[in-house]
Order: sequence, then structure tokens, then C-alpha cells
Amino acid sequence: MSGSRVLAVSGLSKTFPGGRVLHDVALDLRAGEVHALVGHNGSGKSTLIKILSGYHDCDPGGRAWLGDDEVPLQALGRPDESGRAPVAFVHQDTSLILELSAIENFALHRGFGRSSSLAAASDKRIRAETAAVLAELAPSVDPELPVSRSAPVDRTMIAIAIAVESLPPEGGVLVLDEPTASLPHSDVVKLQALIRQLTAKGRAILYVSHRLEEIIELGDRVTVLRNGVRVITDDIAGMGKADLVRHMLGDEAKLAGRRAPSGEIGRSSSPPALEVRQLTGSIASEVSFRLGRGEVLGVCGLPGSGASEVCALLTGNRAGARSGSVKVSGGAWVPATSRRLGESIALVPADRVHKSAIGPMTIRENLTISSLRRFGRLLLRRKAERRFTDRWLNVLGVVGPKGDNSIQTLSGGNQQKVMIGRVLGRDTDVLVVSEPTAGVDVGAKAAIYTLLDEHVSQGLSVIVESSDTDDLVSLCDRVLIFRRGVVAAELSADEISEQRLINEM
Amino acid sequence: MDDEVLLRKSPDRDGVDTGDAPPPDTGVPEPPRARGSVSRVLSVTRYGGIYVLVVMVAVFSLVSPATFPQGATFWQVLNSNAVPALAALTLVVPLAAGVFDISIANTMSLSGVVCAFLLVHAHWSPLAAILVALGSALLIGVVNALIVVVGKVESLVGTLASGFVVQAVVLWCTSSQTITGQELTGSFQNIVFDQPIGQMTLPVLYALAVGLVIWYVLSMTPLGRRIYATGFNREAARLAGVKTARIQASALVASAFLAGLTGIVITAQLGAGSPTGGNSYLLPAFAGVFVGATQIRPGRFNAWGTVLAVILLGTLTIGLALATVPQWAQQLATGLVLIAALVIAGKERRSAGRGDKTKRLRAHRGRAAPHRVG
Repeated sequence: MSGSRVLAVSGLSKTFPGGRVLHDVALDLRAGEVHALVGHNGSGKSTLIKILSGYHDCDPGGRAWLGDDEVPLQALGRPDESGRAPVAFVHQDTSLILELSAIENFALHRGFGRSSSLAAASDKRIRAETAAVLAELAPSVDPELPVSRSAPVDRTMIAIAIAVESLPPEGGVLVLDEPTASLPHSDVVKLQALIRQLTAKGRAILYVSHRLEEIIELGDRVTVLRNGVRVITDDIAGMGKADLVRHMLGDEAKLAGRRAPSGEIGRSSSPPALEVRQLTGSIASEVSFRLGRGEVLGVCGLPGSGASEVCALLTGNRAGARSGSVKVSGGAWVPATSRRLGESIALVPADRVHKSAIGPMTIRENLTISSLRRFGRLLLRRKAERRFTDRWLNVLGVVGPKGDNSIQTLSGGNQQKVMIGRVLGRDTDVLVVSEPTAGVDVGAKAAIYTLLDEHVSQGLSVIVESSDTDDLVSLCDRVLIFRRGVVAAELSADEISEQRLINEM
Repeated sequence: MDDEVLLRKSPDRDGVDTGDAPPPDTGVPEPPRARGSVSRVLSVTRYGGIYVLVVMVAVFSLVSPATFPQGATFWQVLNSNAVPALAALTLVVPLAAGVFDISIANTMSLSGVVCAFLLVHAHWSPLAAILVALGSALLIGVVNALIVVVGKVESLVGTLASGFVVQAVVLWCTSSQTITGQELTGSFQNIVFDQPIGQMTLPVLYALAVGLVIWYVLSMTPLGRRIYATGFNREAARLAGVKTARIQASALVASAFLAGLTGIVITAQLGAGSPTGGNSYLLPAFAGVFVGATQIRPGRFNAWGTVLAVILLGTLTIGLALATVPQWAQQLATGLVLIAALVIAGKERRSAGRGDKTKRLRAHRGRAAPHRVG
């Protein structure tokens, strides 16, 4: 299924203050093909897509063609006077407004004369047209109902229908960014049918996904990125999952660099630091596991697999808890729905900006907020706090700024170090670290690993929840891999490798 | 030393506390801070209000040389702003903790009326009446805490609603009549009209005492740190182990208590229990507390900044009145000062803490995108 070229880009590079994340990448899409784009975290996929959409400007040297005509890169995602653009995007979290109906969402995106788009939704002719489009592309959707009442897969299909409507009548490229990330497998089939329907009409699809099986099933060609470089673009026919993984990781499967398991701390004899029994939330179902004293347990899975939900439940997000119980350090069993649950388990949240850093406060205040007790009760001993901060910043390797500066003067990596310093200062035996190195440069990443390792060797027990396989390989003694709400696989220390992890997800 | 517990895990920092390998910054204050403290004392950002006050006094002295630069004016500014200062200080604690308390005006009226009723109609002793009045205010605080923290209602709306209810109850019980009686004069009024220093009346001391307590709690104790953390980013504070619900609930109880205190002072000053006695203090209190958050500790609701702001706005009002400017112009001036202070403070905050990282921050901002890739 290889039609004529509809879109090509070349020479795409992108440099951020932290370094270059994309090196001279080229990509071409043919009419009627599903072109998969794969690569693990940090490979540059998102950056590439953000350049295509015009969100990022690329470094000088990038070129783009539509068919045989060279166009500026920024023109790809920019709508013309009729509101149509050559490339349309559907992102993982669709931008639908849940309170509005499918037709109203359509009207909002399409503009219909631009003056008053919602009013257009009450126009009879437009309603009928929209309903017809939806009936064709998303037949299971009731166009009059609020989108919130549709199933997730139907929402994705509405979003795709809206995106398709913003393409030119013929050709065009639809970029699907992790469209199935939060869908159960049964729904994926439905989505695949829609995608085939679109390619049959000559649309090209750029399909970004972590789910390699889906890519093999659906894709015609694949482009693999690794560390910002295009490794290969080739036909998928004849390729297996193992081939893709090999391309994604490179031939040197990085087995080196794993830390020695902290074995001597009696994991089997002493009571576990944490026991989880039949923990159930909206995705996770009856998850049970133990965390040994001085153990680092990795928890991972694709989005929607339940891995991150389990961590949220453990740290006291009661809203999602259904049932199950948790026991910390040989204490009593605490029901998952109890407000006491999160108290004895410290968390480094994944969302640093909103849930971890306290923006307007200083570095010192951010560092000590969890351990203020050690500086007194009725009077905060400032000197002790300053000394403590200076020494911690030293240990954390946050060089330069003094503790009195705002936390926002620090780079992302240094902020994350302070956040980890904060929980390590807390009097706790069990620590849950969520995406510890997200958005953190390589140097800070190594520093964070060392820091956690040191504390683990002193008896701290850690759960690392991460979508970055580096974290899991470098830190963990054991990894639980989640799929569809249950622990699908457990890798012991000598089984953990990037390859195995990606295969099992 | 308990903070060494943390560091036991990093071999290279061992023994820091025993002194054989002193870290760079132990002991004497380091030069950058010393220099910082000089510029801090003179800082326009932190003490801009004081400069403005000085200029204002100079200008008013020139405009109305016969009336303004007098001892009496000085005492008048202090005495007439004691209650507004108390009302504004009442708001500092809840706002620092990230919750509004709109009901304070009504709580002031309630406690003032309760106090007056017990004195006039039940013939209680002043002390007992005051205690029960404070108790009634505390009750409102508890109700507010239940509505906002337990019931998870947006604090602005929740306390607005509870304020309506309190006002309704007060009007109903008093039949909208002001309570008067000779019990409200005499010994009871001594709690406001005694002049221990010069012509300064006691409420000035109350305001200073309340300011002192709030200042101490907010800036000198771990609790204060937790209150600010809760106000700045409640979710992050909660995940960092701060009991944010308890802090916000306590803040609402504290503000109701202080409102109760203020209500009693109002009743004593009026010599009557007015069912709407607190109402006129609400909006000036907000003005004071917000301007106050641009002073002394810019970016944080704080006690001395609030006191400074109230004095500033009060001097402005009195100065304009003595210059025989019409009343609308006084309000105009108050409004303009408020806008100017908040705009300047917003600018300062945006450029605050840039220091040597300015360039990098700008570079980040230019891209405006998270750098997570892949």
C-alpha cells in the first residue's frame, strides 16, 4: 500500500537549553499508509511532532514538502482561510470539551464561518452535515449527547473525526499521538477499523505509540528514533516485536550500569516494609505485593495499565480507592479507603510543577517543609535550618544558588533534587517516587540515582514508578509490570533489562 | 544533632557537625547575605510603603500646615486606625493559609451585639460578656471550617453564605435595633478609651499585640511555614506531609476569633451594639491586607505589612480630609493606591528571584514548553 508522497520533512534538529534532543531527522509519508513512529522516552518523538504542529520552532536547516512543492515548516499545521491544514493532530488527551455534545465540539473546532461557532451548532443544515460525518466515522456515537457520556474510545473517535474534517478533502496527514494509550484492548480494534477506513481514502496516518503489537498489526512502515536520531525507516512487513525493540535500544543492550542488589539487608527474614493486599481502584484490580526492607521495587506499565494508579492509592489518593488494604512496617492493616493510608508513605509526585514544588517559596523552605519538626516547635531555629539547607544542597549537588532564592530559579533537574531531598528528610520508611527523572538532564539523573541508592543501603524502602526504563534498570531490585490493572509480569534483579521491560509492557 | 541523621547516609559529609570538616557556610553570616541585609533595609520593594508614608506626610504638611503637622493628628491617625487594623489583621491568617473569610464583618457584628446584649439586658459583668461574645465568634469559625474544609465549598462563597446567615440571625434577634444602655458606657468603655501612653487609646495596643502574635506565628514558627505552604500550593503541601485541612480549618477559627475581638472593641467604641457594626470594615480590611502583602514580606500576607498599609491608607484619608478634599476624592485616592500597589507588586514578583539566573529563565520562558520529550 504505497501511494505517492504526500508529505516529507528533512533536516529537523532541535536544541533545548539542556542539550540537543533531535538530530537531523527526516520523515516522509505516503498516501494511504499508516506510518508508525516509535522510540522510547527521550527519543525525540514528541519533539518531532511538536515541530510538525508548529509548537516548537526547529533549529535552522529544517525543510518540508507537500507533495512535490517545498513549503515552510510552519505551514504544515497552520489552517488556511477555509480552516483546513495539511496536517491534523489528535493528542493523547483529546481536547474535547466534555460538557458539550459531539456536534457542539465539532462546531467549536471547525469554526463554521468563525463568527459564532457555537451558534453554528444550532443551525439545522450544519447539524445534519456534522451528524452525517460522525455517522460515517464514529457510528457508535450519539452526536447530541454530552461527550462526557461517551466511552473513552468514542471520544477518541470524535476527536479523530474532527481532525479529519480539518484536513483538505483529499490527502492530508493525520497524526495520532498515542491514541490507544488509555484504551482497553477490546476498544483498540474499533479504532483500528476507523484508521483503515481513513487510509483506504488515501489519507496518510502518522501513528505514534508505545504499543508495539498494535504497530505491527496496523502499520505499513515504521520510523524508529533513538536518542534524537532516526535509526531506520522501513516496511513493517516481516518485522517482529524483537526487531523493533532492537532498533529502539540499539545493539548494545544496556545491561551494564545496574546497581548491585542490596542483598545483605534481610529481605526475607525481617517483616516487609510494606504489604499490599487486594488493592483495587478504578483500573487496578486486586493488586497484591510486598516491598522488602531496603528494597527498590519498580512499578511500570503503559498509561492506563494501573501502575500509576497503584502508587496514587498507596499515597493516600482516597478518591479512587475501592477496596484492599495496606500494611506498613509490620503495623496494622489499613483499608485503602482510610484517611490514614497516605500518612506513613512519603511521595515524590510526578507532576513537579503542580504537586511538588511550592512555587513562591524559597529553596530552603521547599527543602525543609516536610521536616520542620527537627528545627523546633514554637520557634523555628533559623540558623539550624540554614546550616541544614546548605549541607543538603551540597549533598544534592545543587551548586551555586543559596537557599534563600526562589525555588523557581533552579533548573528542572535541580528542583527535582530538592524535591527528593525533601522526602528523604522526612521521617519515613517507605518512599514512593513517581517519574523521578522526568525532564531531568543526564547529570542530575545520575545524581538522583546515587542519592536514592545511598539511602536504600541504609534501610529505606522505595517504590519507583517510572515510564523511563533507565530508572527501572538503574535503580530497581525487582520490577512489577502492569497491564490492564493487574501485575502481568515480575522481573527479578537479574532479569531487568530495557529489552525485557519494553517487551513485557 | 538530629539533622545529622539525614546525612549519615552520605559518607563524604560525615563528621560535619563535629567540626573537622566545616562546610563552607557554617557560623558567620556569609558576605552575600551581609550585603543583602543592607540593601534589604533600604529596599524599595520591601519598605516602599514607608517611603510613600514619608512623602505623604511631607506633602500634607505643606498643603495644610495649620492642621496636619500636629500631635493631635498623629494620635488621631493611630487611634482611628486601630479597629481597621484589627479587622485587616483578622484576614491575614486565613489568606496566608489560602482561604478567604468574608464572614468576618458579620462575625464582628455578632460578637458586638452579643456582648452588648449580655451587658445591657442580662446585666452580666464585662468580663463574662466578653468571653461569651468571643465564644459566639468561635462558633462561627467552627461552622466556617465545617463548610469550607469538611464540606469542600469554595471559601469565598462558603464564608459569604455563612456571613449572610450570621447577619440574618443578628438582625432577627435584635429586631434590627441597636442595643444601647448605660452599661455600655463607664467601666466597659475603659477597655477602649484608656490612654496609657500620650493620647493613644488601648485599641492601638490591641492591634499591635495581635500583629505581634500573627507575625510570630507566621514567620517564626514551623506552623507559620506550613500555613504559607498550604496557601501557596495546597496539594503540594499536603503531599509533603502538611496537614492542610487542619491548617485551613484552624485559620478560619482564628479569623473568627479575631473578628469577635474586633467586634467587642467596636461596641465599646460606639457605646452601643450595632447589628451591622462590622460591615463597613470589611472592604477596607481587604484593601489593607492586600496592600500589606506587597510590603515587608512582599508576596506573602503578613502582619506588619498589613499594619503599615492600614496606617498608610488611614493617613491618606485623614490628610485629604484635613485638606478639605471632598469624600469621593478620598475613596478615589484609596482605590488608586490599591491599584498602584498591586500592579507594582505584581511586577516585582515576576522579576523576583531572577538574580544571576535571569538569562536562563528568560530563555525557558521564551520556549514556554516543558522539555519532556520522547
